Amino acid sequence: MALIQITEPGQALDPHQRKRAAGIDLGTTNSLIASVREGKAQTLDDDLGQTLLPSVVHYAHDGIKVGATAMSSATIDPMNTIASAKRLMGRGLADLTQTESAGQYAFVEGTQGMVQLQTAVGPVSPVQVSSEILKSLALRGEASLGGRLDGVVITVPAYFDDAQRQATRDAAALAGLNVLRLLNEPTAAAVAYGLDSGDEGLTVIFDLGGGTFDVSLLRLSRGVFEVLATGGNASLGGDDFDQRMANLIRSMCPGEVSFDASLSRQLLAVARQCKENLTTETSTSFELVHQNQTLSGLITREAFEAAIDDLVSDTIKAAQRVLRDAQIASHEVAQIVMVGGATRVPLVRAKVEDFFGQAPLSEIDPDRVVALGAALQADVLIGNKPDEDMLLLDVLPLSLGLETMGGLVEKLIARNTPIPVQRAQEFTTFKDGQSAMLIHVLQGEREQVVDCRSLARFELRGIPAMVAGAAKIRVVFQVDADGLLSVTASELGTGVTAAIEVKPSYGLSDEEVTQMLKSSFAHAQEDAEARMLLEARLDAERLIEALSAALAQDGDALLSPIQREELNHGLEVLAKVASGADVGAIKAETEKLSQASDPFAAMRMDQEVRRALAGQALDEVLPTEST
Amino acid sequence: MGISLTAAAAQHVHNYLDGRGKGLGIRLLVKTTGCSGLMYVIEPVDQPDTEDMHFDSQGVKVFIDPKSLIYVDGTEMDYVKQGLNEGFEFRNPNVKGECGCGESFTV
Amino acid sequence: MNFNQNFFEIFQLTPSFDLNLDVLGERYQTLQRRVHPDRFVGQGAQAERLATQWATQINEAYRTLSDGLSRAIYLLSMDSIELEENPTLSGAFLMEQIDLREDLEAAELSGEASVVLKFMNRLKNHMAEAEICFQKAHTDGAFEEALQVVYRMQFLKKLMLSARAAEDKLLGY
Repeated sequence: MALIQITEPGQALDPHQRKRAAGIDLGTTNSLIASVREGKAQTLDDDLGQTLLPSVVHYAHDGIKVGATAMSSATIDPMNTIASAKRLMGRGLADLTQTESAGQYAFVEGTQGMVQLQTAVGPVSPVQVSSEILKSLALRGEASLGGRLDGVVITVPAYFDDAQRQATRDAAALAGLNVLRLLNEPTAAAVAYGLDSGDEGLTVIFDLGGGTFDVSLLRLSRGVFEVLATGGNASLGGDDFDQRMANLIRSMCPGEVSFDASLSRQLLAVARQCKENLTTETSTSFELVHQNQTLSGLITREAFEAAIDDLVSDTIKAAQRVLRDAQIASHEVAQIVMVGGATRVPLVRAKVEDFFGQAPLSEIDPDRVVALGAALQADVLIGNKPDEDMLLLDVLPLSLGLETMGGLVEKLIARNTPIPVQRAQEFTTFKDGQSAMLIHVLQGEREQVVDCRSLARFELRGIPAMVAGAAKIRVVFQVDADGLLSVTASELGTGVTAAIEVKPSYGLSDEEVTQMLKSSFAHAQEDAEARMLLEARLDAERLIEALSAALAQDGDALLSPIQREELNHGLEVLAKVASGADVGAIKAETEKLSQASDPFAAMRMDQEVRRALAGQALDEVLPTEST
Repeated sequence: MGISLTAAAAQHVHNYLDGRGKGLGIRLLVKTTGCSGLMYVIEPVDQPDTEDMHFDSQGVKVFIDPKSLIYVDGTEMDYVKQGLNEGFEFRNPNVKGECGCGESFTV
Repeated sequence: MNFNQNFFEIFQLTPSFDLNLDVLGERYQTLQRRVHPDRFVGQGAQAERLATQWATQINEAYRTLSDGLSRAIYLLSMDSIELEENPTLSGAFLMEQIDLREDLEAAELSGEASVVLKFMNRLKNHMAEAEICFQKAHTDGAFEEALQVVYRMQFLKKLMLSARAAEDKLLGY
């Protein structure tokens, strides 16, 4: 006999109609699964009563182990024990930082441009590693819910770009899971609080995890969760607090102590413990054992807070920034929700309270709140709550654009635009007779291609031969409700079309993602200058190319030798100036040559009109020597 | 006769009602449906119906309409864990058959 | 619903610049509740694709109508009036441009974020003024005048973005 749960009056579904749905928080350090039972979202424990599954996978000839059992292999078989695979999702070998590449794993280039790790059973990709974690959680879910899962919602950091989202979806597909939706972690946390309390108004989700920091602003009204703005820092988290604590402890040890690999590991573990102790205590002692010598000392909360003050201030600054993006004042915020273990640090809570003028909420365990929210949405999406009118309206976290001339990015969709969204833009050919166009899709906030993340490149071929600027190429970006992008390009005159599902080609590290965002603000000035120079050069080059072609065609027929010599001279001067970096000079010379060539352009136009009136084909009247 | 609860079942109902913040007890319903004819439904009760019968067991009030009672008279409700799964189990002397999946039953 | 509706029709609003943004926001949510792809999970690829198309269209309509400048441009486009790339502008407007740019430069040079903020508030007032002008011109059917106001609004918006960037810089973002 199946086991029966209590249901609210009228909510009971017929057998087989109630579907098994779960929410999965696929974390960098730990992962967990939750589901709605008896009307409440609950995390599902394993058979040892553990909720958190360490996001660690061990690969060996005798099988694959996941979680705590895999973690115990870390010290004896580090090369085959993969931790923190989430950091590698959707990234290529070239994206790894030096520390990462020099770390314990043997990285190899994967087939799709994504990095792979060499293990005892061959190369595995981060997608495969993540899928093992998902499989393990799914098994737990099936055992808890008494059957196969009908669908899951998997959470991702709001900051995840397209490649990272795609990789997460791929991992779920590999694990045989039906993904109902990818849900942003802060949104999930808001759902966990919002649905429970029925509170309305502006809600800030302050999510400080082990390695990342997300801050999001949502508007809650009548069951609608509308994300207004999102921001943060993809390389700031509790791990940085540990590092600062470690530095603090180290500075208290005698100078002659050499911190080898073993002592450094011990130091980090002790530092983490001290950090946790200082959550409730005002001071804590530490002890390090090194070569029969015991190093000990006392750390006060005050000293620790001084050591992490700038990091915490950075999180407040990011929160400020998000409020500014949405044009909201801090006192307008109705509630602040804390997510992630690092929000337990008292200084974080104090600074958040100080900035917003109210105490943040933390009734729900910050480690579980994301999975609980995902479970609630999964329950709604699968159809277990036909009357629930909860709706999540999310936004695009990072701007999407295309490479245009001169290595610049033309943004098609700005960040914080509500999804799903579609935007189209028309481009044209740059050269006469150009038959193909490279479409390079990018994500990020900076203005230059090199500073943004490349998502995909593809070619639109078969454009009919036309003069430069005559072909109309329409590029359409569609972002779906999961935040996933697809791009199509077509030539409007002929209907030649090329489409692509954007798959990761190569990418950037989390640090670089953050850097991309940060620098787009910090170096706005520098960017603008670089952009101006590139644009000026492009204008100059366009003029040189067009005028040279025109002279070759009609110069002899329409101009006197003196006139022609003048324009040739102008071309030489402009070419020389354009290779320099003086924006003003390039603009001035471009303008000068443009004016100088105006009469010639007018003559050509007159000639065109005459030819057209004469009804003659162009080819027949062209002097053969100048074609 | 009537409906009775084991101590474990009673404890779970208490926990549930506490968590919900309101409710006089639970209602046991027998709905006609499913592959084998009938299914159990358990709901919290805020307002009993006039024709409801009710039983007290282990400090829990169990409400049931007279029509449903015919199918479940003498049933003991237990709360059990089967591996990671948990929920109410019905020991119903009237049951003659169950569907393969065990989600519905016949009397 | 059909895709040929104009953005006002989508929200069942009378085409007008003077829009109740609260009503617009409510109707936006009401519509999204009905068409959002979340409502069609598991109902087949076709249903989900159509839902995505609709949710996309509603997002676009909402985005266009909720912002004053884009709403003004959209209203003019409904009367087949398109913006020119290099419009002829009045001398007074050009003078205003120069003055405001100089004021922004001065605010930036002051090194005080609060001075930039003050300037931004001034811009906001100018924008509110411009919106009233547009509203009047558009209601009177004075499209040429309305178009001129749109150019002014465009300029103010661009300047506002520059001012925000300047404030960001001074605040150290």
